[in-house]
Amino acid sequence: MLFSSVSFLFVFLPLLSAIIFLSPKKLHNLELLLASIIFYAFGEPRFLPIIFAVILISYIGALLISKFTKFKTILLCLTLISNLSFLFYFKYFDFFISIVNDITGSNIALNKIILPLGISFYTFQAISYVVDVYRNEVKVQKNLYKFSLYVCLFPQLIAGPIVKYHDIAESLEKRDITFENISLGIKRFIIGLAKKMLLANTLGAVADSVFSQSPNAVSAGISWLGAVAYTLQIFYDFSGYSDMAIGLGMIFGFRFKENFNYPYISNSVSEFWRRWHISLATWFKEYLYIPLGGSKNGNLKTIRNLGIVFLLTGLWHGASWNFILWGGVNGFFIILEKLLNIKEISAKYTKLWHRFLMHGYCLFVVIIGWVLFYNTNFINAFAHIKNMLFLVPAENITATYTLPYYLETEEILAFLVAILCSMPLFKNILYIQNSWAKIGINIWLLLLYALSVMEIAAGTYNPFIYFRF
Amino acid sequence: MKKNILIDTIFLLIFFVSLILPITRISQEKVAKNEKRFLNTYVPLYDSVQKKINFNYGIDFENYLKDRFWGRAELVKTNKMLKYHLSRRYVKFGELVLDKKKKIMYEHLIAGRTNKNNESYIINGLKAFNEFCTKNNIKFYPVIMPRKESVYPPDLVINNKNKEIKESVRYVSNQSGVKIIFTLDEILAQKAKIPYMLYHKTDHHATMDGAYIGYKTLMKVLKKDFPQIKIIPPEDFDYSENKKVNTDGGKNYKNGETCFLSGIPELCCENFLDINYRYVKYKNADKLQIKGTYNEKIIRGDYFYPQGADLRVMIFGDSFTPNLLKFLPFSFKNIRYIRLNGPKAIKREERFRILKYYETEILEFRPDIIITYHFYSTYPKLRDIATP
Repeated sequence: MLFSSVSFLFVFLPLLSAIIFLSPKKLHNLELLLASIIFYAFGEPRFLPIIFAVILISYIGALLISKFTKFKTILLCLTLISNLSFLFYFKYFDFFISIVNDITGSNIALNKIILPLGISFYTFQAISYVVDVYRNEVKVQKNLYKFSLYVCLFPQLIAGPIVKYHDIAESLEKRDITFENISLGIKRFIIGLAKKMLLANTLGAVADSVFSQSPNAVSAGISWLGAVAYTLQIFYDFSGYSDMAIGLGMIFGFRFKENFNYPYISNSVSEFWRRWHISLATWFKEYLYIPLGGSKNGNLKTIRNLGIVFLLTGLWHGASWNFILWGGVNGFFIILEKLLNIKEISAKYTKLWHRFLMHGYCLFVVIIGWVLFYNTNFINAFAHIKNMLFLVPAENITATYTLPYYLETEEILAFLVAILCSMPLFKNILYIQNSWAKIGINIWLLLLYALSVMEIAAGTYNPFIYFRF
Repeated sequence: MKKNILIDTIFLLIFFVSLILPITRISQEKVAKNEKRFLNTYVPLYDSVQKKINFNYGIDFENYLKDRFWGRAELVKTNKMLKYHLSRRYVKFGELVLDKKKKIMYEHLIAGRTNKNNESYIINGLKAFNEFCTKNNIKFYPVIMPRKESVYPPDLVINNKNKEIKESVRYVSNQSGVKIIFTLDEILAQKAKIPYMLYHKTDHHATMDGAYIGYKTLMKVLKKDFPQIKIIPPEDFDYSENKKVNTDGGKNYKNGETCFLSGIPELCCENFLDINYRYVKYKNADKLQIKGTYNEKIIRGDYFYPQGADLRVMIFGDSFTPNLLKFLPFSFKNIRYIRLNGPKAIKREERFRILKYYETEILEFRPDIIITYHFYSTYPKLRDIATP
């Protein structure tokens, strides 16, 4: 089930809200757990055993780690291996086989394994809990169903944010559902839905219309248009989903940490990664980078550690070389910035044009990175990048479409709004207390909701144009 | 503070009511008329007949609710109207594009060259079918009418791929040894000379003028092998004009299929139907006899015209063929027309399997000529004509 689906909006959410708001507090955890299982099973019932297995392994593993401290390292390793083996099999096994085939020239058949929804998120979430128990940073949760609720709580189950157990441990035991939180949560949810339906989808269509063509059918300008469209699409898609997750969490009494902090205002790639998918970056920092030694053991080891982290960050996003390359490119620039001591440079050069240059550099790297992220075909990706760098002579390009094909009023508006909202201009808009402003904002939010629902409805309109025969 | 609570209370009330409203009434219609498809039906969680759980229940329920929630049609229409008014010139509904300035609608923007694999299958299909025809003393003529986008390219398109399309057809013709009659060049040549549209603005079909060019191009080729054939000249027809669309030869003039599929016909059709199309009637049509099977349109028909050439013709076609049949029957004594996308009993993906479903009929009818007549969108389907 997706948050933008009609089943979720018109059935699941109102029904669950009614049940939770009208039932006694002591039943809330159980109700949420059942609802989360139904939420997941709605689209993927056959993969329920996987998530249950991850829950059980992590629960038992943490219990044993806290009880048998003498063997806790071995127990931790066993738990991690077990959890990661699910992730490896479902997400990376076919990729691994294809690498073996490429290297050895063999022809081992791929299993065409279907990826269970959210496995990357809930596996990492479960691992973070077990490691935190190992480190004595959290108390072990002895109640299986509360722990299950932590892992499969539906707002963050399929697309994050990756929630640390520590952040909601208290809420699992005791939380209040207040009018203020419901109100803020709904508003946050609507903003997330609008980001997804009105901005991400519109800009995604522009990106697809550019990248679906052969690179020599688009000019440099159009390649840039596609790249910028995708840069904005992926942000609004992902942050929109995070907003919806955070909003839904608030409605039911949970406070999740922010997952995005206006990443496109960054002045360095390092800063970008402090603002982009914060929960994932934090996870890799706390559970991989720091255990590897972080930046404490000299430059060479720092480079190694950063390289490993970013290659794996890329790999986490998808079992394909383009994701690894994307991770590697980001890692390269972060290493470079670390070696050049970008923090000192930023502190030293503060004039507007310095900031402008640094911001431009950051955006350039990020946008090029997204082109790699988008295209699983390297040849296409590099051809588009070559185009973007104006390295393709104009006579080699036979454009198929004019500019209005990509940009009509709707797309231009989406670009403008997306660029504006990528800056923290409206950061605290939901917290304004002036009554008249509040009325205006609420009307605006209801309008956004109506427009989003219209887009959802329009997506259900499916005339038989294509089967002309 | 109290005021703010009241403001938010009203906000939340409106929001939750709007969440619940769509499921207060579920449409029980079977068909979405303006989408030309069946609406998804409810599939229960437990199949009591097969006694098993439906593990696709979530997907089935979503599909069912998506098609039937209350207010869906109004929301879709409002969304489309907003997009229509917001757009400066081009309104895009998926692949469907409306050009508000030139007042023309397109269901797709371009038709590219079919890929190499497809071409080899088409070559094999044509070869095999031609062998069957040759073995049975039948002459085979495949005719392809171009898509509207090839004749009236949208201004959005710089390279409409006509060159690639022609190359593909030429290549397939050469490799298969079967001459495909692709009417694009003739239609483009006549476009400037005829003061009427050759394709409808709000429909994907050719007009009568466009169809006549198709007819004449075909007849010129046939005449080389059958000199006794007479090509009916334009002067032998009576003409009438109408702003609306009639491509099936019936009595009804409509807004056009593309307009219908846009979902906002009331908003834009009057604007787009701003020119006249020509419609024809043969002056000596009174001697024509038709024995047809109807299903809103003729899906198969025997045409008898005593003054036509003494040849038996079988023509297999699609929705482009009825316009051709305004001209073709007057050139031959007996034509049997079979519409390939007519019979519902044949699965959609098999409808072009002419030999599979009609071989016996062909052998019984014993035509001198077999014509396939359809438009470029279904050109790849030629791969199936000899498939058993």
